[in-house]
Amino acid sequence: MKNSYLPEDVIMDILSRLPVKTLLRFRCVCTQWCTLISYPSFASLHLSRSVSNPTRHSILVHRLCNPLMSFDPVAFAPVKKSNLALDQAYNIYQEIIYVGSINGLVCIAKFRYGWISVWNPSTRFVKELPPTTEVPIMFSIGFGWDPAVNDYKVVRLCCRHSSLITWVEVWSARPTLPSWRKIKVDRNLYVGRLICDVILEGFTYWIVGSDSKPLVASFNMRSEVLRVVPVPEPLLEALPLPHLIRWQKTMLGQHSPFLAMNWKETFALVGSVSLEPRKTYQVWTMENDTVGKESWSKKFTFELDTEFRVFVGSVNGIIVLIKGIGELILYDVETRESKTIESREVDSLVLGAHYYVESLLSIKRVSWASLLCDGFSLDEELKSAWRKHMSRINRT
Amino acid sequence: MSSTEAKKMVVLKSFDGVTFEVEESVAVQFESIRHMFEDNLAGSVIPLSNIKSEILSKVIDYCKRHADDTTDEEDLKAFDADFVKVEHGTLFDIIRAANYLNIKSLLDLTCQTVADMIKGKTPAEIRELFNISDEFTPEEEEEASIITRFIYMDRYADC
Repeated sequence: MKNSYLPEDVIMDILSRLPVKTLLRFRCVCTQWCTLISYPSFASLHLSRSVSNPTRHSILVHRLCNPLMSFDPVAFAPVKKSNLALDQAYNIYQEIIYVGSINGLVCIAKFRYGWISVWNPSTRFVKELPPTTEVPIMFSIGFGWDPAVNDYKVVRLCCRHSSLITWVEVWSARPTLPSWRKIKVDRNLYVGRLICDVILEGFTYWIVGSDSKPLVASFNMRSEVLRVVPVPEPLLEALPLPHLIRWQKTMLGQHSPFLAMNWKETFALVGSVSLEPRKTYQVWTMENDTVGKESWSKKFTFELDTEFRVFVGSVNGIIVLIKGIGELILYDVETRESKTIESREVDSLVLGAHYYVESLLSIKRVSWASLLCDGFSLDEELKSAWRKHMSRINRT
Repeated sequence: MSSTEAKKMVVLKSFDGVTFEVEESVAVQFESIRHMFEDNLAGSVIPLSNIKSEILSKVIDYCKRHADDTTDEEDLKAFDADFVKVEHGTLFDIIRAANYLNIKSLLDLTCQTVADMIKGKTPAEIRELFNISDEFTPEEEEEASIITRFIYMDRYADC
């Protein structure tokens, strides 16, 4: 027995504890390691370790015309040496919108062209989705994961501008399913935001409008059913002139009085319960005891200075917001701890914040076209090496 | 079995013929051979033909510490940190023993130690450490290197 011999499952155990960047480098140690690292089962094992290791997590903040920034969610500090290939990827294109992230996969879109892709910023694999047949005027993109069959889905919640007739279009990563299936919704909804509000295991959520009231819509990734639940009453009481509001775009975008968030893997809604000055906020979680009997439960009350005005998004119980002009704050609703993570003299519009856990997962079939059209100047040598590499992987 | 009986002992025999008498409360951590002494083969010697006495004694030492309820967590952490401060050949031997005996916490500790150790190393250093003969043809090596460069757009000295 060679002194350094280790069984394959032990090597897998050791490698699963390493960051993605190191693993990509270690693929050229030997063919055995290269194959191990490419196994889908290894990607799953690696992901489960990443999930429980906060040093593999980051908060991604997207400012208009700025590179995607990565922050450490534990230390509340910028990540000095990011493991992500963020600097030279899609972030520099201002028309890119980050829909959301789950299991290390990030859904990105360009609204003008109806272009949607699923991207892994750690490995740079990209899966470009086929175009949809129809581009309605109002739609919102959601991304989600069905853990029961380990499938990833991209969802478009669409509505007609005048009639508000609503439907859902679903794309699944499973090659056996046809791309973009249309699913009927029996309610007329007003879809205001471009992207979904919260992604949880198995569900994607939106705050939507109806004629009279704001609602929370949840899409079940397994059953592919869209359900709507009214917002808790106390959060409606403090709204400015509630009887005048039609739940339209202005109320659902960045100036929405509500913030939806993932609070410990539960959907939660944050809203002000005091009239001007709006200082007191409540956090309500949606308890999913049984489908159809969702109920709200009040979790916290907290106060924020009126200077804190714009909610950007939330990540695992931490709210990302803007204070004054350009000061980016992370606020923990449970501990009430807040920290300035970045200060800018001039406010550049913050478009979103997403929680990211690095992984090796990829949705099969790399799309070369998307890489090329996005400014990667790949020389012939690189392309042929890549083709050889892919054909070798496909053979095994 | 009555708890008033004298502590039940299990006898293990290493690859080089050294026998170790271990309390059953310690030996229960050896998941893969547990059935052998639990089937009440009292007094019989359990051979561990692929573990050297030097390594087996270390592993038993580790399990004794972890079976002792009176040790507080801080001390245990310090013990673990000290335990893995060994030459890498010994560390690999311990990993193989932990894997063979299926001692989850020891496997966890040692695998994490190796992971931390190799994180900053180049592929060439890894090959040396794991005694891997370079199986890549120069062409494959070049291919892998190009791909890695493509992924990160930067160069690794030895990749």
